[in-house]
Amino acid sequence: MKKIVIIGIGNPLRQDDGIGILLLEKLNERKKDFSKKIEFIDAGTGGMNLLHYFSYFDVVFLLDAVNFKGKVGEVKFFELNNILENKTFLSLSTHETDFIKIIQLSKNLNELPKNFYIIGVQPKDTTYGNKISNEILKKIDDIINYLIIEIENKITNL
Amino acid sequence: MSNDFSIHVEHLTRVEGHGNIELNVKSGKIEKIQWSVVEAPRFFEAMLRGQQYNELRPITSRICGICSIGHSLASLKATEDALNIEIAEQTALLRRLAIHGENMQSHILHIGYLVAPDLLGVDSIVPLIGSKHTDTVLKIVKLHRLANEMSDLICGRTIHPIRLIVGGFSAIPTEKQLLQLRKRLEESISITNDLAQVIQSVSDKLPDFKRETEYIALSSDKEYALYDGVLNSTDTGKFKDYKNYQAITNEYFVPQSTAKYTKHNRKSYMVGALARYNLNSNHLHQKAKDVAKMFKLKPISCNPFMNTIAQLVEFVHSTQDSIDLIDDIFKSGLKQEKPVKPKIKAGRGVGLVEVPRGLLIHDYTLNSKGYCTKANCIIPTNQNHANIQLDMEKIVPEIIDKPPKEIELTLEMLVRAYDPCISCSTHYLDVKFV
Repeated sequence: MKKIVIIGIGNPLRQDDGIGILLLEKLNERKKDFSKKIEFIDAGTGGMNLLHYFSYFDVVFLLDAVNFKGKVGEVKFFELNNILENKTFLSLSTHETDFIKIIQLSKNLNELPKNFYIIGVQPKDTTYGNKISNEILKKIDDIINYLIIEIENKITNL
Repeated sequence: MSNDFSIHVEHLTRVEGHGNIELNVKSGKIEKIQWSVVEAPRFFEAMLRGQQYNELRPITSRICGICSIGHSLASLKATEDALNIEIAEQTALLRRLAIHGENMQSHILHIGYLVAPDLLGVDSIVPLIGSKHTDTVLKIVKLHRLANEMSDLICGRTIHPIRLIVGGFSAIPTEKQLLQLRKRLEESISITNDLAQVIQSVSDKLPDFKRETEYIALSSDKEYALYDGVLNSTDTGKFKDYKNYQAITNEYFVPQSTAKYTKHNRKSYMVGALARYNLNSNHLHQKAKDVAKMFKLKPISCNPFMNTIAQLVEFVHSTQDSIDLIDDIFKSGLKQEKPVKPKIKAGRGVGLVEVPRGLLIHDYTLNSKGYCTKANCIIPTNQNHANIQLDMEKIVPEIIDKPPKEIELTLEMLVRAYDPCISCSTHYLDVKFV
Protein backbone atom coordinates (compact mmCIF):
# COMPACT_ATOMS: atom_id res chain seq x y z
CA MET A 1 0.00 0.00 0.00
CA LYS A 2 1.29 3.43 -0.91
CA LYS A 3 2.26 5.69 1.96
CA ILE A 4 0.52 9.04 1.65
CA VAL A 5 1.30 12.25 3.49
CA ILE A 6 -0.02 15.79 3.63
CA ILE A 7 2.71 18.17 4.78
CA GLY A 8 1.80 21.66 5.92
CA ILE A 9 4.52 24.29 5.80
CA GLY A 10 4.61 27.93 6.79
CA ASN A 11 4.93 30.22 9.77
CA PRO A 12 1.84 31.04 11.84
CA LEU A 13 3.72 34.10 13.14
CA ARG A 14 3.55 35.58 9.64
CA GLN A 15 -0.20 35.82 9.27
CA ASP A 16 -1.37 34.11 6.03
CA ASP A 17 1.96 32.32 5.74
CA GLY A 18 0.50 30.02 8.40
CA ILE A 19 -2.42 28.94 6.20
CA GLY A 20 -0.70 25.64 5.30
CA ILE A 21 -0.51 24.77 9.01
CA LEU A 22 -4.12 25.77 9.72
CA LEU A 23 -5.45 23.75 6.75
CA LEU A 24 -3.33 20.77 7.79
CA GLU A 25 -4.92 20.80 11.26
CA LYS A 26 -8.42 21.05 9.79
CA LEU A 27 -7.79 18.23 7.26
CA ASN A 28 -6.41 16.09 10.09
CA GLU A 29 -9.69 16.60 11.98
CA ARG A 30 -11.52 15.25 8.90
CA LYS A 31 -9.16 12.35 8.16
CA LYS A 32 -12.09 9.89 8.30
CA ASP A 33 -13.37 11.48 5.08
CA PHE A 34 -10.45 9.99 3.16
CA SER A 35 -10.67 6.42 1.83
CA LYS A 36 -6.99 5.71 2.43
CA LYS A 37 -4.72 6.14 5.42
CA ILE A 38 -2.98 9.52 5.32
CA GLU A 39 -0.24 10.90 7.58
CA PHE A 40 -0.35 14.58 8.52
CA ILE A 41 2.90 16.45 9.21
CA ASP A 42 3.33 20.02 10.43
CA ALA A 43 6.75 20.88 8.98
CA GLY A 44 6.60 24.57 9.92
CA THR A 45 9.64 26.40 8.62
CA GLY A 46 11.97 23.43 8.77
CA GLY A 47 13.46 23.79 5.27
CA MET A 48 15.96 21.00 4.83
CA ASN A 49 13.95 18.70 7.11
CA LEU A 50 11.57 18.26 4.18
CA LEU A 51 14.25 16.12 2.52
CA HIS A 52 13.75 13.46 5.16
CA TYR A 53 9.96 13.61 5.16
CA PHE A 54 9.96 13.06 1.39
CA SER A 55 12.03 9.89 1.86
CA TYR A 56 9.38 8.20 4.01
CA PHE A 57 6.43 8.46 1.59
CA ASP A 58 5.21 7.48 -1.90
CA VAL A 59 2.69 10.30 -2.29
CA VAL A 60 3.22 13.85 -1.05
CA PHE A 61 0.79 16.75 -0.89
CA LEU A 62 2.66 19.88 0.20
CA LEU A 63 0.33 22.54 1.54
CA ASP A 64 1.56 26.14 1.65
CA ALA A 65 0.87 29.82 1.06
CA VAL A 66 1.82 30.46 -2.59
CA ASN A 67 1.73 33.81 -4.29
CA PHE A 68 0.43 32.94 -7.76
CA LYS A 69 -1.30 36.32 -8.19
CA GLY A 70 -4.70 34.76 -7.69
CA LYS A 71 -7.63 35.89 -5.58
CA VAL A 72 -7.03 35.83 -1.83
CA GLY A 73 -7.90 32.34 -0.58
CA GLU A 74 -7.83 30.79 -4.08
CA VAL A 75 -6.41 27.26 -4.13
CA LYS A 76 -4.27 25.73 -6.90
CA PHE A 77 -2.64 22.33 -7.35
CA PHE A 78 0.85 22.42 -8.90
CA GLU A 79 2.54 19.38 -10.40
CA LEU A 80 6.13 19.06 -9.30
CA ASN A 81 7.24 17.97 -12.77
CA ASN A 82 6.03 21.27 -14.25
CA ILE A 83 8.14 23.13 -11.74
CA LEU A 84 11.21 20.99 -12.40
CA GLU A 85 10.82 21.33 -16.17
CA ASN A 86 10.68 25.11 -15.74
CA LYS A 87 7.11 25.36 -16.94
CA THR A 88 6.40 26.97 -13.59
CA PHE A 89 9.05 28.92 -11.75
CA LEU A 90 8.85 28.52 -8.01
CA SER A 91 11.08 29.86 -5.30
CA LEU A 92 10.73 29.12 -1.64
CA SER A 93 12.88 30.87 0.91
CA THR A 94 12.75 28.14 3.53
CA HIS A 95 15.66 29.44 5.56
CA GLU A 96 18.88 27.79 4.68
CA THR A 97 18.34 26.55 1.18
CA ASP A 98 15.81 26.84 -1.55
CA PHE A 99 13.06 24.42 -2.28
CA ILE A 100 14.34 23.38 -5.70
CA LYS A 101 17.69 22.36 -4.14
CA ILE A 102 15.86 20.14 -1.64
CA ILE A 103 13.88 18.57 -4.48
CA GLN A 104 17.02 18.06 -6.59
CA LEU A 105 18.86 16.50 -3.66
CA SER A 106 15.91 14.23 -2.94
CA LYS A 107 15.82 13.23 -6.62
CA ASN A 108 19.57 12.57 -6.75
CA LEU A 109 19.25 10.40 -3.64
CA ASN A 110 16.47 8.43 -5.38
CA GLU A 111 14.13 9.37 -2.58
CA LEU A 112 11.74 11.75 -4.32
CA PRO A 113 8.16 10.42 -4.28
CA LYS A 114 6.79 9.85 -7.77
CA ASN A 115 3.47 11.43 -6.90
CA PHE A 116 4.13 14.93 -5.65
CA TYR A 117 1.64 17.81 -5.54
CA ILE A 118 2.02 21.30 -4.21
CA ILE A 119 -1.22 22.82 -3.00
CA GLY A 120 -0.94 26.59 -2.96
CA VAL A 121 -3.29 28.99 -1.24
CA GLN A 122 -3.09 32.63 -2.29
CA PRO A 123 -2.20 34.73 0.77
CA LYS A 124 -3.12 38.37 1.36
CA ASP A 125 -0.63 39.42 4.01
CA THR A 126 2.51 37.61 5.16
CA THR A 127 3.98 40.30 7.39
CA TYR A 128 4.43 39.61 11.11
CA GLY A 129 1.32 38.80 13.11
CA ASN A 130 -0.49 35.68 14.24
CA LYS A 131 -3.89 36.01 12.53
CA ILE A 132 -5.07 34.65 9.19
CA SER A 133 -6.84 37.20 6.94
CA ASN A 134 -10.61 37.37 7.29
CA GLU A 135 -10.99 36.86 3.52
CA ILE A 136 -9.37 33.43 3.86
CA LEU A 137 -11.06 32.52 7.14
CA LYS A 138 -14.48 33.17 5.59
CA LYS A 139 -13.71 30.60 2.86
CA ILE A 140 -12.03 28.05 5.10
CA ASP A 141 -14.86 25.46 5.10
CA ASP A 142 -15.17 25.67 1.31
CA ILE A 143 -11.40 25.29 0.94
CA ILE A 144 -11.39 22.21 3.17
CA ASN A 145 -14.30 20.60 1.30
CA TYR A 146 -12.60 21.31 -2.04
CA LEU A 147 -9.28 19.89 -0.81
CA ILE A 148 -10.91 16.69 0.46
CA ILE A 149 -12.58 16.10 -2.93
CA GLU A 150 -9.44 16.88 -4.95
CA ILE A 151 -7.04 14.90 -2.75
CA GLU A 152 -9.47 11.98 -2.62
CA ASN A 153 -9.66 12.02 -6.45
CA LYS A 154 -5.90 11.93 -6.74
CA ILE A 155 -5.35 9.13 -4.23
CA THR A 156 -8.21 7.02 -5.65
CA ASN A 157 -6.61 7.14 -9.10
CA LEU A 158 -3.14 6.11 -7.98
CA MET B 1 48.03 46.36 -4.84
CA SER B 2 44.53 46.23 -6.29
CA ASN B 3 43.17 49.40 -7.77
CA ASP B 4 39.48 50.23 -7.74
CA PHE B 5 36.91 47.57 -7.08
CA SER B 6 33.77 47.01 -5.16
CA ILE B 7 32.06 43.92 -3.83
CA HIS B 8 28.37 43.91 -3.12
CA VAL B 9 26.87 40.64 -2.00
CA GLU B 10 23.15 41.08 -1.67
CA HIS B 11 21.24 38.34 0.13
CA LEU B 12 24.22 36.11 0.83
CA THR B 13 23.39 32.48 0.02
CA ARG B 14 23.69 29.43 2.26
CA VAL B 15 22.79 31.41 5.37
CA GLU B 16 19.35 31.78 6.92
CA GLY B 17 17.72 35.11 6.18
CA HIS B 18 18.92 38.19 4.39
CA GLY B 19 22.26 39.90 4.97
CA ASN B 20 24.45 42.01 2.68
CA ILE B 21 28.21 42.47 2.37
CA GLU B 22 29.60 45.69 0.93
CA LEU B 23 33.22 46.54 0.20
CA ASN B 24 34.51 49.57 -1.74
CA VAL B 25 38.20 49.93 -2.56
CA LYS B 26 39.55 53.03 -4.33
CA SER B 27 43.19 53.35 -5.43
CA GLY B 28 43.94 50.35 -3.27
CA LYS B 29 42.47 52.06 -0.21
CA ILE B 30 39.47 50.64 1.64
CA GLU B 31 36.66 53.18 1.68
CA LYS B 32 33.88 51.07 3.09
CA ILE B 33 33.44 47.61 4.63
CA GLN B 34 29.99 46.84 5.88
CA TRP B 35 28.01 43.83 7.06
CA SER B 36 24.34 44.75 7.16
CA VAL B 37 21.14 42.97 8.04
CA VAL B 38 18.17 43.93 5.94
CA GLU B 39 15.43 41.74 7.34
CA ALA B 40 12.19 43.37 8.37
CA PRO B 41 12.18 43.91 12.14
CA ARG B 42 10.42 41.16 14.05
CA PHE B 43 7.77 41.72 16.66
CA PHE B 44 7.74 38.42 18.49
CA GLU B 45 7.88 40.07 21.90
CA ALA B 46 4.72 42.03 21.07
CA MET B 47 2.98 38.79 20.07
CA LEU B 48 3.78 37.31 23.49
CA ARG B 49 2.20 40.14 25.46
CA GLY B 50 -1.33 39.27 26.57
CA GLN B 51 -0.79 35.50 26.15
CA GLN B 52 -1.26 33.03 29.01
CA TYR B 53 1.86 31.39 30.53
CA ASN B 54 1.25 28.02 28.80
CA GLU B 55 0.86 29.66 25.36
CA LEU B 56 4.30 31.31 25.41
CA ARG B 57 6.21 28.12 24.59
CA PRO B 58 4.13 27.11 21.52
CA ILE B 59 4.34 30.65 20.11
CA THR B 60 8.09 31.04 20.60
CA SER B 61 8.74 27.60 19.10
CA ARG B 62 7.57 29.10 15.80
CA ILE B 63 10.18 31.88 15.86
CA CYS B 64 12.73 29.60 14.21
CA GLY B 65 12.58 26.43 12.14
CA ILE B 66 16.07 25.41 13.23
CA CYS B 67 16.22 26.41 16.89
CA SER B 68 12.60 25.67 17.78
CA ILE B 69 13.65 23.25 20.54
CA GLY B 70 16.08 25.84 21.96
CA HIS B 71 13.40 28.56 21.89
CA SER B 72 10.99 26.14 23.57
CA LEU B 73 13.46 25.36 26.35
CA ALA B 74 14.43 29.02 26.94
CA SER B 75 10.72 29.81 27.05
CA LEU B 76 9.93 27.00 29.51
CA LYS B 77 12.86 27.95 31.74
CA ALA B 78 11.72 31.60 31.82
CA THR B 79 8.11 30.61 32.55
CA GLU B 80 9.11 28.10 35.23
CA ASP B 81 11.47 30.65 36.77
CA ALA B 82 8.62 33.19 36.97
CA LEU B 83 6.28 30.62 38.55
CA ASN B 84 8.94 29.03 40.84
CA ILE B 85 8.48 25.57 39.30
CA GLU B 86 11.08 22.91 40.10
CA ILE B 87 11.15 20.26 37.36
CA ALA B 88 11.80 16.54 37.98
CA GLU B 89 15.24 15.03 37.41
CA GLN B 90 13.99 12.88 34.52
CA THR B 91 12.52 15.97 32.83
CA ALA B 92 15.91 17.69 33.05
CA LEU B 93 17.61 14.63 31.51
CA LEU B 94 15.08 14.41 28.67
CA ARG B 95 15.38 18.14 28.01
CA ARG B 96 19.15 17.71 27.77
CA LEU B 97 18.56 14.96 25.19
CA ALA B 98 16.24 17.30 23.29
CA ILE B 99 18.87 20.04 23.13
CA HIS B 100 21.50 17.56 21.95
CA GLY B 101 19.11 16.46 19.19
CA GLU B 102 18.72 20.03 18.01
CA ASN B 103 22.44 20.77 18.31
CA MET B 104 23.17 17.75 16.14
CA GLN B 105 20.44 18.62 13.61
CA SER B 106 21.62 22.18 13.22
CA HIS B 107 25.38 21.54 13.27
CA ILE B 108 25.33 18.80 10.64
CA LEU B 109 23.08 20.94 8.48
CA HIS B 110 25.59 23.78 8.66
CA ILE B 111 28.71 21.66 8.29
CA GLY B 112 27.31 19.35 5.61
CA TYR B 113 24.93 21.39 3.49
CA LEU B 114 26.18 24.96 3.94
CA VAL B 115 29.96 24.92 4.56
CA ALA B 116 31.11 21.69 2.86
CA PRO B 117 30.37 23.12 -0.64
CA ASP B 118 32.88 25.95 0.07
CA LEU B 119 35.53 23.46 1.14
CA LEU B 120 34.86 21.10 -1.78
CA GLY B 121 34.74 23.92 -4.34
CA VAL B 122 31.10 23.69 -5.46
CA ASP B 123 28.05 25.93 -5.18
CA SER B 124 25.84 23.47 -3.35
CA ILE B 125 25.76 19.91 -2.10
CA VAL B 126 23.47 18.79 -4.96
CA PRO B 127 26.16 18.30 -7.68
CA LEU B 128 28.30 16.27 -5.26
CA ILE B 129 26.04 13.25 -5.75
CA GLY B 130 27.54 11.24 -8.56
CA SER B 131 30.97 12.72 -7.90
CA LYS B 132 33.78 11.18 -5.84
CA HIS B 133 32.10 12.76 -2.80
CA THR B 134 28.84 10.79 -3.12
CA ASP B 135 29.66 8.73 -0.06
CA THR B 136 30.29 11.89 1.97
CA VAL B 137 26.89 13.31 0.99
CA LEU B 138 25.19 10.05 1.98
CA LYS B 139 26.90 10.20 5.36
CA ILE B 140 25.82 13.81 5.90
CA VAL B 141 22.21 12.93 5.03
CA LYS B 142 22.33 9.88 7.31
CA LEU B 143 23.60 11.89 10.29
CA HIS B 144 21.07 14.67 9.67
CA ARG B 145 18.27 12.10 9.44
CA LEU B 146 19.33 10.49 12.72
CA ALA B 147 19.38 13.87 14.51
CA ASN B 148 15.94 14.72 13.07
CA GLU B 149 14.45 11.41 14.14
CA MET B 150 15.98 11.80 17.59
CA SER B 151 14.31 15.22 17.95
CA ASP B 152 11.05 13.73 16.71
CA LEU B 153 11.26 10.93 19.28
CA ILE B 154 11.99 13.16 22.28
CA CYS B 155 9.89 16.19 21.34
CA GLY B 156 7.03 14.63 19.38
CA ARG B 157 8.03 16.50 16.24
CA THR B 158 11.24 17.10 14.28
CA ILE B 159 10.79 20.84 14.73
CA HIS B 160 8.27 23.04 16.56
CA PRO B 161 8.09 20.49 19.41
CA ILE B 162 4.80 19.56 21.07
CA ARG B 163 5.80 17.34 24.01
CA LEU B 164 7.80 20.02 25.84
CA ILE B 165 5.39 21.76 28.21
CA VAL B 166 5.54 23.86 31.37
CA GLY B 167 6.60 21.61 34.28
CA GLY B 168 7.60 18.56 32.23
CA PHE B 169 6.60 16.47 29.22
CA SER B 170 3.13 15.73 27.84
CA ALA B 171 4.44 12.36 26.59
CA ILE B 172 7.78 10.57 26.65
CA PRO B 173 9.44 7.92 24.48
CA THR B 174 9.21 4.24 25.46
CA GLU B 175 12.14 2.29 26.85
CA LYS B 176 12.33 0.34 23.58
CA GLN B 177 12.49 3.54 21.53
CA LEU B 178 15.25 4.96 23.72
CA LEU B 179 17.24 1.74 23.42
CA GLN B 180 16.90 1.84 19.62
CA LEU B 181 18.04 5.47 19.62
CA ARG B 182 21.02 4.57 21.82
CA LYS B 183 22.05 1.85 19.35
CA ARG B 184 21.78 4.21 16.38
CA LEU B 185 23.79 6.89 18.17
CA GLU B 186 26.56 4.39 18.88
CA GLU B 187 26.60 3.28 15.25
CA SER B 188 26.77 6.89 14.07
CA ILE B 189 30.08 7.64 15.81
CA SER B 190 32.16 5.90 13.13
CA ILE B 191 30.21 7.74 10.40
CA THR B 192 30.96 11.09 12.07
CA ASN B 193 34.62 10.15 12.36
CA ASP B 194 34.71 9.36 8.63
CA LEU B 195 33.13 12.75 7.89
CA ALA B 196 35.66 14.43 10.16
CA GLN B 197 38.47 12.81 8.14
CA VAL B 198 37.02 14.19 4.89
CA ILE B 199 36.68 17.69 6.34
CA GLN B 200 40.17 17.46 7.79
CA SER B 201 41.53 16.62 4.33
CA VAL B 202 40.22 19.94 2.96
CA SER B 203 40.58 22.04 6.12
CA ASP B 204 43.45 23.99 4.54
CA LYS B 205 40.65 25.86 2.72
CA LEU B 206 39.67 27.43 6.05
CA PRO B 207 41.51 30.77 6.16
CA ASP B 208 44.25 31.07 8.75
CA PHE B 209 42.86 34.25 10.29
CA LYS B 210 42.98 35.46 13.87
CA ARG B 211 41.38 38.32 15.76
CA GLU B 212 41.23 38.43 19.52
CA THR B 213 37.76 39.06 20.87
CA GLU B 214 35.58 38.28 23.87
CA TYR B 215 33.76 34.94 23.95
CA ILE B 216 30.56 34.55 25.95
CA ALA B 217 28.68 31.33 26.77
CA LEU B 218 27.06 29.49 29.64
CA SER B 219 29.43 27.42 31.78
CA SER B 220 28.84 24.72 34.35
CA ASP B 221 31.11 22.97 36.87
CA LYS B 222 29.40 19.66 36.09
CA GLU B 223 29.07 19.45 32.32
CA TYR B 224 29.61 21.02 28.90
CA ALA B 225 26.87 23.59 29.38
CA LEU B 226 24.00 23.63 26.90
CA TYR B 227 20.74 23.31 28.86
CA ASP B 228 21.95 25.01 32.02
CA GLY B 229 24.83 27.08 33.34
CA VAL B 230 25.97 30.52 34.41
CA LEU B 231 26.99 33.35 32.10
CA ASN B 232 30.72 33.29 31.47
CA SER B 233 33.16 35.48 29.55
CA THR B 234 36.74 34.87 28.45
CA ASP B 235 37.43 38.49 29.45
CA THR B 236 35.59 38.96 32.72
CA GLY B 237 34.76 35.49 34.04
CA LYS B 238 31.49 34.26 35.53
CA PHE B 239 28.46 36.48 36.04
CA LYS B 240 25.91 34.81 38.30
CA ASP B 241 23.21 37.51 38.39
CA TYR B 242 21.36 35.96 35.43
CA LYS B 243 18.28 38.17 35.80
CA ASN B 244 20.54 41.13 35.12
CA TYR B 245 21.78 39.64 31.83
CA GLN B 246 21.43 43.05 30.14
CA ALA B 247 24.67 44.02 31.91
CA ILE B 248 26.32 41.46 29.58
CA THR B 249 24.34 41.86 26.37
CA ASN B 250 24.05 45.69 26.23
CA GLU B 251 21.90 45.79 23.08
CA TYR B 252 22.14 48.80 20.78
CA PHE B 253 21.05 49.90 17.31
CA VAL B 254 23.25 50.63 14.30
CA PRO B 255 22.06 52.55 11.23
CA GLN B 256 22.93 49.87 8.66
CA SER B 257 20.90 47.06 10.21
CA THR B 258 17.41 46.21 11.29
CA ALA B 259 18.81 43.78 13.88
CA LYS B 260 20.02 44.89 17.30
CA TYR B 261 23.76 44.58 18.03
CA THR B 262 25.39 43.77 21.39
CA LYS B 263 28.72 44.46 23.15
CA HIS B 264 30.22 43.82 26.59
CA ASN B 265 33.87 44.27 27.55
CA ARG B 266 35.09 45.15 24.05
CA LYS B 267 33.50 46.56 20.93
CA SER B 268 32.03 43.13 20.20
CA TYR B 269 31.80 39.57 21.46
CA MET B 270 31.15 36.18 19.93
CA VAL B 271 28.69 33.45 20.93
CA GLY B 272 28.21 29.96 19.50
CA ALA B 273 30.11 26.70 19.28
CA LEU B 274 33.56 28.32 19.24
CA ALA B 275 32.71 30.47 22.28
CA ARG B 276 31.47 27.39 24.14
CA TYR B 277 34.55 25.44 23.12
CA ASN B 278 36.85 28.23 24.25
CA LEU B 279 35.17 28.42 27.66
CA ASN B 280 34.20 24.82 28.37
CA SER B 281 36.41 22.44 26.34
CA ASN B 282 37.58 20.63 29.50
CA HIS B 283 34.06 19.19 29.89
CA LEU B 284 33.95 17.63 26.40
CA HIS B 285 33.86 13.86 25.98
CA GLN B 286 37.19 12.32 25.05
CA LYS B 287 35.98 11.40 21.55
CA ALA B 288 35.07 15.06 20.94
CA LYS B 289 38.46 16.17 22.28
CA ASP B 290 40.08 13.73 19.82
CA VAL B 291 38.31 15.42 16.89
CA ALA B 292 39.45 18.84 18.16
CA LYS B 293 42.99 17.48 18.21
CA MET B 294 42.68 16.29 14.59
CA PHE B 295 42.10 19.92 13.60
CA LYS B 296 44.65 21.34 16.07
CA LEU B 297 41.80 23.24 17.71
CA LYS B 298 42.84 24.53 21.12
CA PRO B 299 41.28 27.04 23.51
CA ILE B 300 41.37 29.97 23.12
CA SER B 301 41.01 29.82 19.33
CA CYS B 302 40.57 33.30 17.86
CA ASN B 303 39.85 32.10 14.33
CA PRO B 304 36.10 32.51 13.60
CA PHE B 305 36.39 30.07 10.66
CA MET B 306 37.05 27.38 13.28
CA ASN B 307 33.47 27.80 14.53
CA THR B 308 32.49 25.12 11.99
CA ILE B 309 35.13 22.78 13.42
CA ALA B 310 33.90 23.54 16.95
CA GLN B 311 30.43 22.52 15.72
CA LEU B 312 31.85 19.22 14.47
CA VAL B 313 33.50 18.69 17.88
CA GLU B 314 30.18 19.47 19.58
CA PHE B 315 28.36 17.05 17.27
CA VAL B 316 30.56 14.23 18.55
CA HIS B 317 30.09 15.42 22.15
CA SER B 318 26.30 15.60 21.77
CA THR B 319 26.22 12.08 20.31
CA GLN B 320 28.30 10.61 23.11
CA ASP B 321 26.58 12.59 25.87
CA SER B 322 23.15 11.51 24.57
CA ILE B 323 24.20 7.88 24.99
CA ASP B 324 25.24 8.66 28.59
CA LEU B 325 21.99 10.53 29.26
CA ILE B 326 19.92 7.55 28.07
CA ASP B 327 21.96 5.34 30.45
CA ASP B 328 21.31 7.83 33.27
CA ILE B 329 17.56 7.74 32.58
CA PHE B 330 17.60 3.94 32.73
CA LYS B 331 19.63 3.92 35.97
CA SER B 332 16.71 5.33 37.90
CA GLY B 333 14.12 3.65 35.66
CA LEU B 334 12.03 5.38 33.00
CA LYS B 335 8.96 6.83 34.74
CA GLN B 336 5.64 8.17 33.44
CA GLU B 337 5.59 11.44 35.37
CA LYS B 338 2.91 14.10 35.37
CA PRO B 339 4.16 17.63 34.65
CA VAL B 340 4.57 19.79 37.77
CA LYS B 341 1.38 21.80 38.21
CA PRO B 342 2.10 25.51 38.51
CA LYS B 343 0.70 27.79 41.20
CA ILE B 344 -0.17 30.89 39.22
CA LYS B 345 1.34 34.09 40.55
CA ALA B 346 2.85 37.32 39.33
CA GLY B 347 6.57 37.30 38.71
CA ARG B 348 9.48 37.71 36.33
CA GLY B 349 11.51 34.81 34.97
CA VAL B 350 14.58 34.53 32.80
CA GLY B 351 15.60 31.43 30.83
CA LEU B 352 19.12 31.03 29.43
CA VAL B 353 20.00 28.18 27.08
CA GLU B 354 22.87 27.46 24.70
CA VAL B 355 21.33 26.77 21.29
CA PRO B 356 23.32 25.78 18.19
CA ARG B 357 24.24 29.39 17.34
CA GLY B 358 24.96 30.49 20.90
CA LEU B 359 23.39 32.05 23.95
CA LEU B 360 19.60 32.45 23.82
CA ILE B 361 17.72 34.41 26.49
CA HIS B 362 13.97 34.68 27.12
CA ASP B 363 12.71 37.07 29.79
CA TYR B 364 9.01 37.16 30.73
CA THR B 365 6.97 39.14 33.24
CA LEU B 366 3.65 37.52 34.22
CA ASN B 367 0.74 39.13 36.04
CA SER B 368 -1.16 37.51 38.93
CA LYS B 369 -3.39 35.62 36.47
CA GLY B 370 -0.41 34.16 34.61
CA TYR B 371 -0.64 36.40 31.55
CA CYS B 372 2.49 37.83 29.98
CA THR B 373 2.80 41.60 30.35
CA LYS B 374 6.37 42.01 29.12
CA ALA B 375 8.76 39.86 27.07
CA ASN B 376 12.29 40.11 25.78
CA CYS B 377 14.14 37.59 23.59
CA ILE B 378 17.86 37.90 22.85
CA ILE B 379 18.84 35.80 19.85
CA PRO B 380 22.40 34.46 19.35
CA THR B 381 22.90 35.85 15.85
CA ASN B 382 22.21 39.41 17.07
CA GLN B 383 25.09 39.00 19.49
CA ASN B 384 27.46 38.09 16.64
CA HIS B 385 26.76 40.89 14.15
CA ALA B 386 29.25 43.38 15.64
CA ASN B 387 31.91 40.66 15.77
CA ILE B 388 31.35 39.81 12.09
CA GLN B 389 31.79 43.50 11.19
CA LEU B 390 35.07 43.80 13.12
CA ASP B 391 36.37 40.52 11.64
CA MET B 392 35.70 41.95 8.17
CA GLU B 393 37.54 45.16 9.01
CA LYS B 394 40.60 43.14 10.07
CA ILE B 395 40.61 40.47 7.35
CA VAL B 396 40.15 42.70 4.28
CA PRO B 397 43.48 44.57 4.64
CA GLU B 398 45.19 41.18 5.08
CA ILE B 399 43.81 39.84 1.76
CA ILE B 400 43.49 43.10 -0.21
CA ASP B 401 46.07 41.94 -2.79
CA LYS B 402 44.01 38.88 -3.73
CA PRO B 403 41.63 38.94 -6.72
CA PRO B 404 38.22 40.51 -5.86
CA LYS B 405 36.44 37.18 -6.45
CA GLU B 406 38.65 35.51 -3.85
CA ILE B 407 38.06 38.36 -1.38
CA GLU B 408 34.33 38.03 -1.94
CA LEU B 409 34.41 34.28 -1.30
CA THR B 410 36.47 34.75 1.87
CA LEU B 411 33.99 37.32 3.21
CA GLU B 412 31.08 35.04 2.38
CA MET B 413 32.80 32.14 4.10
CA LEU B 414 33.45 34.36 7.12
CA VAL B 415 29.76 35.17 7.54
CA ARG B 416 28.76 31.55 6.93
CA ALA B 417 31.24 30.39 9.60
CA TYR B 418 29.03 32.14 12.18
CA ASP B 419 26.08 30.07 10.91
CA PRO B 420 23.86 33.14 11.19
CA CYS B 421 20.11 32.79 11.48
CA ILE B 422 19.38 36.29 10.25
CA SER B 423 15.70 35.82 9.96
CA CYS B 424 14.19 33.34 12.33
CA SER B 425 11.02 33.01 10.31
CA THR B 426 11.48 33.97 6.67
CA HIS B 427 9.38 31.69 4.62
CA TYR B 428 7.35 32.45 1.56
CA LEU B 429 6.52 30.81 -1.72
CA ASP B 430 6.53 32.93 -4.81
CA VAL B 431 5.44 31.45 -8.11
CA LYS B 432 5.95 33.08 -11.47
CA PHE B 433 4.70 31.59 -14.68
CA VAL B 434 7.04 31.69 -17.67
